[in-house]
Amino acid sequence: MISRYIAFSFLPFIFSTFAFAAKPGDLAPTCITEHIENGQTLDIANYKNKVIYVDFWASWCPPCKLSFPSLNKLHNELYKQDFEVIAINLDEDKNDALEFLQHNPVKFTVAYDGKGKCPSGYNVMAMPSSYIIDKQGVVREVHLGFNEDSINHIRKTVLTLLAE
Amino acid sequence: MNLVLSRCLCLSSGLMLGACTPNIQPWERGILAKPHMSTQSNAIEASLRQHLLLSKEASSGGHNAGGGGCGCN
Repeated sequence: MISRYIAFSFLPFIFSTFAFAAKPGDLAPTCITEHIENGQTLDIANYKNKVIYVDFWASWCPPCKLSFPSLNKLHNELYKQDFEVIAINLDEDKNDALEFLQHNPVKFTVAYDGKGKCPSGYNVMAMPSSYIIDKQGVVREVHLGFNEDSINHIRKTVLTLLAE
Repeated sequence: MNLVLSRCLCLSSGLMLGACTPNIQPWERGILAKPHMSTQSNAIEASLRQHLLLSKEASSGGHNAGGGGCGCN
């Protein structure tokens, strides 16, 4: 009898550690946020019929900084072919992100989500996390972290999805 | 009475343990990633201390965690 109570008591502890991340094959979770510079609403759902690279980043994250020049280059190369990079900043202080962007200017879309609604929906497990979403709005690939070799793989996947 | 007491004890300890679950999300580690939040504020001194520990105690490792708190390494 007591053992049943012990088991029951530990249920909240066990369930509080569960999480369901967006994975390849899932429909991209809803994500409505704002452009970092003008505050206009940005809805990921509006990018259907485009291949999008959704990148969750923060100014304090070294691999995020490493990824920006490569992503900017990829954006410049492929933006005319229905490809879009959407980098969603998750800094607690928006000014940190704006300062970062002054030192690391990019041409792709940068959004801000200080309250963490979008990463909660995607259940982001690491910084940076990125999701390649196809023209039908389905998550096709998930990347955790970023290193110098990552961009080649990302480019290959994006080109494959653009050709579909 | 004892049964009621033990049930209460079980429930309260379970609830308290639930509060211990680290619920800090990866994107909420900005403040933890700041240099002044490091337990080793002086890298050179930390290196010297590690060297002394290694030579005197014949032990190494386990002193801190790598990475900047971003959960990416």
